[in-house]
Order: sequence, then structure tokens, then C-alpha cells
Amino acid sequence: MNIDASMLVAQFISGLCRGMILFLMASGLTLVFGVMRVINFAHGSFYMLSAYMAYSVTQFFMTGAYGFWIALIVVPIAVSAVGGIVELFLLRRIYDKEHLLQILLTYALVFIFNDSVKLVWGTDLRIVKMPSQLSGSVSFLGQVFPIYYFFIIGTGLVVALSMWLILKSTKVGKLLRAAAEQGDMVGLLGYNVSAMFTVVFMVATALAGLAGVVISPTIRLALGMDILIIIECFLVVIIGGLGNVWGALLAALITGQTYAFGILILEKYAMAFLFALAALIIIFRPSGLLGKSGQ
Amino acid sequence: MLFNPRFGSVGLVLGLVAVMVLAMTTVPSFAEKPIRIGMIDCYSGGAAAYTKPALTAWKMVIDEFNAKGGLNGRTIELVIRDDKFKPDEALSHARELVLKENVDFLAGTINSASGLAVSEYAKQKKKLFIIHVSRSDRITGEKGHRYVFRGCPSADIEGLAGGEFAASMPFKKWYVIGEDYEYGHSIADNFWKGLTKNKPDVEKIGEAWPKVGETDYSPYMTALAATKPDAVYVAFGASGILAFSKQAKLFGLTDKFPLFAFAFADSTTPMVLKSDMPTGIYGGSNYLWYYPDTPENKGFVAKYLEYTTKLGEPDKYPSGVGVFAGYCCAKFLTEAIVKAGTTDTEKVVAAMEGLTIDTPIGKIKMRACDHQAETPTFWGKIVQVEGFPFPVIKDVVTTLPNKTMPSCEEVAEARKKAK
Repeated sequence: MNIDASMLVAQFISGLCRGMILFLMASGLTLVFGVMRVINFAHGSFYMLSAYMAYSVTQFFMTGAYGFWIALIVVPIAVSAVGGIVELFLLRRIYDKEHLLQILLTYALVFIFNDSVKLVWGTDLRIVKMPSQLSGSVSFLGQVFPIYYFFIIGTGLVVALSMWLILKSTKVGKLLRAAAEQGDMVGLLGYNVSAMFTVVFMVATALAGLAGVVISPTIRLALGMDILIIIECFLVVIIGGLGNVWGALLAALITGQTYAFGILILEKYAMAFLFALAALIIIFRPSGLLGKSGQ
Repeated sequence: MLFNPRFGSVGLVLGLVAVMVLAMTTVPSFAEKPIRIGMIDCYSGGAAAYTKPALTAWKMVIDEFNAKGGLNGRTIELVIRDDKFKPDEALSHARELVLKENVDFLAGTINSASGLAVSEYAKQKKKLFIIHVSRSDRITGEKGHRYVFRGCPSADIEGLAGGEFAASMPFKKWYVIGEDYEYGHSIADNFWKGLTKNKPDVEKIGEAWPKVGETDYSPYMTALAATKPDAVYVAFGASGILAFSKQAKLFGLTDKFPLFAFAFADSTTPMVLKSDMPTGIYGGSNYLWYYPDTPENKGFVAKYLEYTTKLGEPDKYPSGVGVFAGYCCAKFLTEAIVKAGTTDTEKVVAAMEGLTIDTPIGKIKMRACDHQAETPTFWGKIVQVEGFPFPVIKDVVTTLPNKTMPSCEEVAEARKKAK
């Protein structure tokens, strides 16, 4: 195979696209861990739930050209409401308990969500229609690219940028960073920590919801898509450093590129590169790329 | 003394009534003890798009059998279990069905690994097991035995037919992309065997094996496009092919390269993909609802539509992977039971060996030596044709089973080697 520039660009873009979806997912996962110290296995379930909800919304507005755009706004909000309920009624009870209990609870949620999705949408194969405004493709450097993939990359960039602005220069952002560092202290200063936890969890589920809607037109919806993404997300969070949003961004981008260029080098064993990378990180830098050592 | 005869007659009447009641309840129910078929398959996840219609076809044949009075008044009932695509669950369901539910026969499986697991158990327990979707050639090949039958095509039938069809095309440089599991590898190997046998100067310039259930194939698409092959063989399972076709269309692969995949021609694919269904690709199937254009085939499509309409889910375009395969297997089993005149496993096995059934596409025989149904394969280019609801094969090329099945000697040799 002759490797030329156009090919490298093509692999870079598809890797970027995958990285952005992983970032949307992993940032929520790592945020919840950083602030609340909860390892949320059910994070992928919110992603699956919102992909199915996106299906229903686009089906409902089938004749209109805006079904997808409505889903893009409505679904993350709806899913984050579900997340809020989960936090208020379930997670809140176990913050001071050991990690094992938290894992059991969030793992149980995976099964509950899976069966709920099965009850509501059944096991038939579902395909979400691509929004007509983004359904074409562009070609440059002799490679064809669907416009939609640039939309995914754009969404990821917008989310990363807004997160950066919020965390850096708003009061909420400062509080969040403080809560992640010294949760008790923030409480002592008179701030309502438990309300903050609810908000963080809702934001995280909304991000998972956004990822679910954004990915839905490119895939075939199936039960089990929650587990597939959550494994990769945990790898990203481990590589990036637990609880670190920028670590998650960096790790998601690296993961996407590793995957894309891995295919170019050893097309038969592309997945192995990712696990090898995670293993190397665990051995040589257990706290992750941007994680603080000693955590 | 006066009392005794009266008591005796009352006793007699009571006794008579008792016998009559007994006769009414137990004797006919003994005669009508149903024939039980244990059906193990995956009814959750993507596989359900194929297994549910297969089950509907079974029910259609069984309803017909029961309406005709069954076997001397014995009707058939199905006991259904979901293995969730897991071989170990399939095996424990098989145990439970045989030991607790006392089923007479076993049927099912879309997952080849599940099929192999249940087949091994059926061999131990001497229960007849008929497979309706699993394709692995090992099922009726090296792992075959007296009690396992397959009513759908095997990977060698499908793959070799595809390879032979592809060999009639001018393409020389091939790229193979497949799902990394039993079916993917098995169908790709057989395709390549069929292609190189008929066209020795072809060259494989690259291959890739994404994991099963992968959702994003974009890096594979761009890597594939960069190798600039003449044609691409897609060795994807029935549900993975849907996500793949959708993305292949997005990346313009379907316009740039001729894509070959067995599942493209099955009616399930365009029905799920709708406007995302690519055209100009090459596909195959073990059954096409529009070909051959005979009264028998039209009658079958109409009968299936009538049956599914009654169930509230009308299906105008019966699929090959699901409906036709389920139909053939149910036919093989019910006709073997009628021919044997009993549900005794040994006699039904003997009756099914070499049994020929009438299907909407002609007669299909269950080969006696390896218990593999001799099914034809249809291949062709998929295009939009006037008057059809979705893209179909315009010029159908039929490959007969005598060209694609291994000989009885080859099967015997493989089985001997495996032992």
C-alpha cells in the first residue's frame, strides 16, 4: 500500500471524528468522577437511551426537515432530567458508602436501562435518518468525506470550548473546580454541595445524551451499544487521568488517532493498539497523562 | 338382602360414570399429546430482525400442519427460548428443554457458536436438532453427526457461489473487509476459495477485520479507499452489514468501488435501511421474493402476507435469511414426522435423510450423507428497478448446490480428521 498525504489526512479526520464522540462521553464520565467520586457504569446507558429517543423524535417529525434538530435540543434535556432523577433518588444515598456499593448500583442501572429500552423500543433494528441539511459529502485531496462527520467534529469543538470558558471564568466553574479539589471545604463555606452534585450529574448525562443523538444517524441502533462505548470511555478516562476534563480531551483525541492510524499500519489488529496504549499508561504513569500523581 | 342389589346397581352406575369421565378426560388427551419442538434462538439485539421472521414462518407451517389434524390428532407446539446470542445460554436452554420440558425435537440458532454447542448436546442425548440460520460450515462438516440437520445454506454454499459469481467479473485487485468472528472468517475464506478456483489471477491487496458490534467504520473506509482496489468483498454478518452499508454509502465507497456481500440482496437489508440503501452493489441470497417469477413463488409471498396480516404485522417481502430458512426447516421436520408416522427420533432421522420438500423456488433435498440441505444461491447486481419498492437484483445468476457443496467424500474425510 502506498501511503500518501491524502490518505494521512483522511485517517486524521476520521480519527478526529471518533475522538470527538469519545470526548463528549468521557468528559461527562470524568467530571462525575472528579466532583462526585462516583464511577458511573450507567453513563453509556444514557448514551444508548438518547440514541433511541432521537430515533423516536425523528420518526415523529418524519415529514419535516427539522426532526433531527429538534432531537438535538430536546433529547439531551430529557435525558439529563432522567439523570437528575437517578441522582436525587439513588446516587445521593450512597456517596458516603464504599466504592463497591456505588459500582453495584450503577452496574444495576445498566441492566435496568437496557431492559427498559428493550421494553419501549423492542429488539428490532433501528436506523436514524440523517438530517437532509447534512446528508451530502465533500471530497478533497481525492478522498470523499460525509459532511455529517464535520458536524460531529464541530460539535465536539464547541462543547470543549464552552467547557473551557465555563470552568475557567465563571463562578460555577470555579466552584466545580474547588469541589473537585476540596469538596468538604466548599460545603463549609456555605455552598449547597448536594445541589451542585445534582447539577454536575445532569450536565454529564446531557453530554452523554448529546453524544447519543449526534452519533445516531451514522450507526445502527442496537441493545448493547451502551457497553461497547463505556469500555472505550473507561480506557480514555484512564489514559487521560481520572477526574481531569482536559486529560479526557487529550486522551480521546489520542485514542481516536491511535485507532485510525492503527488501521493503516496493522489493519487486522487495530483494536490492540488502544489496549496496548492503556496498558503502557497504567504501567508508566498510573495517574494518567494529565492526572495528578498521588490521587 | 334387599339393599344389596340396589347398592350394587348404584355402584355400577357410579363406576360407569367414573370410567366415562376418565375416558373423556384422559383417553383423548393421551391420543392428542402434543409434539413439542424446543426452539432456541437469539430474539434480542440485531439478530431479532432475522430470527423473528424465521419463527413466524415456522408458526405458519405448524398452524397448517395442526389444521390438517397433525400426526393422527397430535398437534405440534413450540417451546421458545432466547439464548441472547450466547452459546452457553443456548446450551443450558437445550438441557432444560430436553430434561424438563420433554421436547421431542430441537430447532433454532442464528449464532453459529450456539448451533455448535446445541448440536454437541443433541448428539449426546440423541435428539434431532435442525438448524435454520447459522452458517458455519463446521456444523454439517467436520462437527456433523447423525442427529444434526441444516435447512439453510452453509457458509461454503454461500461463499463459493459468491466467489464463482465474482469470478465472472473483470475485477482483479480485491480488498476483503469482514467482521471478526466465526461467520465473517468462514464466509470470506469460502468466497476467496470460489474466486481463486475460477479466476486464478486475482490478487488480495488488503484486508481488515473490525470487531463485531463496532459502530464506527470510518477509519476502515478511508484506509480501504486509499488502497484503490478493483472490488471489495464485505464479509459481514446479517446485522453488522446494516451499519456498514450506511457508512459505505456516506463515504462514497458504493459509487467508487463494486461492493460484494451476500446479505445485500436479502429483503431485510433494504427494508431496514430504507433511503440509506446503496445501489450498484452486488449481493446474494438463498431466496428472493421476486425471483423466480412463478405461480408457486407468488403464491408463497401471498400466503405469507395473509398469515402475517392476521398477526397484525403484514410482511409483503419475505426474507431469505429469516422467513425462507424457517419455512424450509419447518417443512423438513413436519414432513419427516409425517413420513415416519411417529415422533421416534431414530425413525424421523431416517425419514429426513434424503427427504425432498416442495418450496416456492422448487424442490430442495436434504442430503443424506451430511444432513445439509441442497439449496441454490442467487447473485446479481442490485439496482433500482421500475415497479419495485426498493433496489433489487435485476439479472439473477443462479448457482446450483452441486457446484458449491463439498462432496460426500470430502465431508467424510473432514469428519474423520476431526476425530
